[in-house]
Amino acid sequence: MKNMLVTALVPVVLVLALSACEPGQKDSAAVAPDLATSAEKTVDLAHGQATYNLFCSGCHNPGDGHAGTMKLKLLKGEENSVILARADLSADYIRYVVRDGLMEMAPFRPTDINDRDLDSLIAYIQSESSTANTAPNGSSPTPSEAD
Amino acid sequence: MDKPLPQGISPATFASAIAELQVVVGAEYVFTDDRAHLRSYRDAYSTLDDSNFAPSAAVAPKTVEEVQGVLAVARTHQLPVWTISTGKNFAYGGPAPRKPGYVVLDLKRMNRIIEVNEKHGYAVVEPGVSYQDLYNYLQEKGSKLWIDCAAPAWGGIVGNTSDHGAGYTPYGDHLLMQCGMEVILADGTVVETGMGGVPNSKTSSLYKYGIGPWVDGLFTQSNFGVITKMGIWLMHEPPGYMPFMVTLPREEDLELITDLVLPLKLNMVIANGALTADLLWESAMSVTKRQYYTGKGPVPDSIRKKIASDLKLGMWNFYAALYGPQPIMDNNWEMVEATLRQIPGAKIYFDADRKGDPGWDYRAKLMRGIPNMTEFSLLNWVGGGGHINFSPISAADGKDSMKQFHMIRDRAHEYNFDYIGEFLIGWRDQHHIFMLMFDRMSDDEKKRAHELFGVLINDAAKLGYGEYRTHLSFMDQIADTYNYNDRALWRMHETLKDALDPDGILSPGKMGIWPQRMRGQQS
Repeated sequence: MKNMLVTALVPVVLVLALSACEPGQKDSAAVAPDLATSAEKTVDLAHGQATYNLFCSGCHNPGDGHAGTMKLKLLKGEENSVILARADLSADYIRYVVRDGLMEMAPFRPTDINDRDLDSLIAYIQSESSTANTAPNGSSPTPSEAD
Repeated sequence: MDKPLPQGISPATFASAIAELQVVVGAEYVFTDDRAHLRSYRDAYSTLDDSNFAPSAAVAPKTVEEVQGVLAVARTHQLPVWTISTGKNFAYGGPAPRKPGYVVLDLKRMNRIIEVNEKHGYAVVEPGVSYQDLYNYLQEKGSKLWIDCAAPAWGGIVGNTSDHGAGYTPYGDHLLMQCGMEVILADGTVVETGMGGVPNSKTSSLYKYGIGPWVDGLFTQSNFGVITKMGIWLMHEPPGYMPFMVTLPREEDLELITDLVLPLKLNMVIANGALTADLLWESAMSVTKRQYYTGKGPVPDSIRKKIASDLKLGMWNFYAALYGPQPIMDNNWEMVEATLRQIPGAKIYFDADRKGDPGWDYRAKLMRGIPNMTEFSLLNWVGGGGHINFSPISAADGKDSMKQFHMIRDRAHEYNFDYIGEFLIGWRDQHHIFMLMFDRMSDDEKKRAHELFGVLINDAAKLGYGEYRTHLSFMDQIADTYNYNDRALWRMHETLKDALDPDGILSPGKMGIWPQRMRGQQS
């Protein structure tokens, strides 16, 4: 069972107002805290999941129509095609690929995924993969073993 | 790797500028460490070595006041800053600057959805808001407004619109649907365009033009200011939606479909950003080249026929949709069907016929403004991920379609690349997108792709075609093809540039517009 502790999910996009009908209405009071300046430094699985959903799921979710999953299936087989089910992805490896990109995948800037987001994302991926895979199968690939 | 410095800036001046930028936005949001952060600002998919576009630093302000502070530092040191929003303009350079050493002005942290108006159908957003962000927000709130998104969900509304991007719903001409901007000029002045010029105006997102010159377009594909806010019109969810697809068995059917669709587009029977995509573009959503062909060069015709048969695709594949109350869609469908049945061998498909086909699913989502990332499957076609888009404008005319298709396909084959392309039909024009795919790990492929692109620009210009958008590498060459009356248009841009940005700090070289101090020095 995953340990979904910590704070409520903080929206990545800050919204000031959904005005019903009057043009030009704004509500400057409704400002959420900036993620990157938050004093909260704890690794946050819920936040990691939100980051995954926003930036990773479009290419790495299971099923057809996901470019990353399609590529990994061809290279590593069906069983290694979904990153949330991979037990061989180390924190360093994920960090490297996110910041550097890999083959078809573009890098993500720190304004997309800041260092704290990245810690939470790594924790989420590893949490999911450990749930999906009870028997981790050894060492992580190195960056030179580019997928 | 030695860090590149901005042109004409000494290491000591650069260090001073960085220290001042850290005061403005906080040290946490000035990125200078190549290994930890700055490498993510390179163009991942370029035909050239990425050192050609390596920034010296990136700075990420959160507010208008911080942008003003950044520009003040830039003016003091004549520091070139390259503005990006979500930085996902891949195939055209991504987040990378035109020249090595520039400082990237990264607006991703300006990510507020400032206003959504359900009744009047618009949103006002900052540059860091992606299509996925706005879609998620509207869904969360139960809004009945649709967005019109770029094909990849992570694209930014402000960035895509200001680079003249297009989408696939009836609101697919993004700049046409833009209404009102907040722009910061190089001297720090904040300008509200259109009706926003009237204090407390309630119509800045409703009427585009205000009074006097309409200037919004000047801040798109340019370097005359920094857009920090934009109004974008959103379509009310229609009572009905019926996407459809037509497979066309022969290459020459491109001529017929183009000519048949134009009247339907002009009369708005087909109101959306309809398109005709070639066989390989659609195939790449499900399979890779290697699964069918491991030889060198473009896929042979015999294999193309096999792919088409296996995937139930045509040599060309037309996608469009009808919108509205059922009786209107029924009535319009009669006209559309009667038109399409004139194409021998054409097959018509609906959602029930192709559900589960990734190519169909993502098109059906895009034509109703549901963002997704499926189009990135194109990058798997050859593997290695390199891609750059050659994007000439064509008349929505069958003969022009064929002429451009042959021009590009023949050159692509000469350089041993596949033709992978689509024609996105606008009001009276077509955006012809040739997706030049190559393995970015292969120096030979990169070199050939780079050379091919340059040749295509010249080929197109000789036939009177110009491109609507381009990669960093080719901005100068394409600007030079808009050379009527001794480059009168670009000389006018330069006059504006010198007046609005006399220090030449804003995105020097964007679309071939260089500030006076750097003019003529580019290679």
